[in-house]
Amino acid sequence: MLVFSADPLRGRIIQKVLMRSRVEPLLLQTIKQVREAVSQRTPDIAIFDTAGCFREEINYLANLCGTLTQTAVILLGDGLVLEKVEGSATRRDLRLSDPLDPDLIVQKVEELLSLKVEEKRSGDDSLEDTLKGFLRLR
Amino acid sequence: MANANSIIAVIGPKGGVGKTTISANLAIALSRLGKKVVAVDLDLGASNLHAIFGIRQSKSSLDDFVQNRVASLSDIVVDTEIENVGLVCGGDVPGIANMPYQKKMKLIRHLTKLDCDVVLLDLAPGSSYNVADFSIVAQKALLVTTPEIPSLMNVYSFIKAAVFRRLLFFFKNNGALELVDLLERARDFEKYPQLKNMEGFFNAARKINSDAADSAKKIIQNLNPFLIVNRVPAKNDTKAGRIIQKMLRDFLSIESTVIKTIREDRAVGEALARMKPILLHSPNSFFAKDIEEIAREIRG
Repeated sequence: MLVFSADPLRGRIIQKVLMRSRVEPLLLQTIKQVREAVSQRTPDIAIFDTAGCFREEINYLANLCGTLTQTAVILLGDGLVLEKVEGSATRRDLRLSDPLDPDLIVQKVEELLSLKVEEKRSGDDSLEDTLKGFLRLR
Repeated sequence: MANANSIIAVIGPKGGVGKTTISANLAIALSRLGKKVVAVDLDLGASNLHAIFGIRQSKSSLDDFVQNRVASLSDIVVDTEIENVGLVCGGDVPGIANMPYQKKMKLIRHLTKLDCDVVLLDLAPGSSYNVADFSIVAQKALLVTTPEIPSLMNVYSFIKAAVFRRLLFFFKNNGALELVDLLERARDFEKYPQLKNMEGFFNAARKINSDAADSAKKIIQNLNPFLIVNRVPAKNDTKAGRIIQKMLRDFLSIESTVIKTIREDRAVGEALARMKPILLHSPNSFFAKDIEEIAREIRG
């Protein structure tokens, strides 16, 4: 899981509340770091905080949301800015407009994590079932 | 000649899973950890390990050894131009893939006497007796698969065949011939569903010969397969490995399986096209990093 925030204070707040919930996100402060992190590994969950971002950075994040099809993205920031990211693949309920609400972020992350665990489990079950079928072990 | 080398077999029960590429690069990674390595191409009849090292034509190969043109296997170790990595090129003389048993035993004897720290065997795909015999000689066998179902099926079947072969030898050597019969029945588990998994087999075996059954069970429980899942989309994507691990535990009573992953990496194709090992062509690639991690794990 990764968190991007150009605002160091907001970034640290988000990181801290998540760590209290035993989630250890990778905190990134620049778009370059985001680019490198997602090229190395697609995150299961990403939080992109648009507060303090330049227009180009917001555009980059909006485009990135469209390409991260396996990632659940939570977008944070000014309501008007989030409206402009309408074209991205982000779910409406995962766009959390200011003021920053750490508890709501944690709640959304926990929901997404349990969904991911469930997805992973059902993916494992189906591969195992297919494999057993081919090997006549069912 | 020293006789203290360690033999590592690289096995890819399904062809085309990247076994030879992994073998060549693993040899280099081990040499960088201070080991003197000889990589031996035992994909008899379809050898191409030399090509990964960029060697177009070798002066000598296993053909020379098999046809008695040289006295010792060490006479055909060629230089790869990589420090501390030697290579025995595979042969392509007709029939080499079905080497006579005595010849194979001679080759095995010579492998154990090669003057190096690690002998790395690149074995043929499938689960022929050649592959089984060479892998039994190895102190460590690395099983290479991709996350796709056909490859996973072959890996499972290979390990199952190895378990049966090991049990067969054990029961025969210990005169437990009634358990040899039971093992034969276990091969047809659709007819004998109570023998579908090893737990069922050992329960039935215990009623016949409890000492032999318990000793055999320990042998199987102590098997420690080392599985390399190649071409995974992300470093910690161990899904395929986890499933094989679970199936080995549930059906074959193998308690512990080491799983390592190698990420899908286009640097591999680029390096192969240039006939250059990835560790030299793209030392910072995912593939190179993952291979180095595996080398650290197996260096002993």
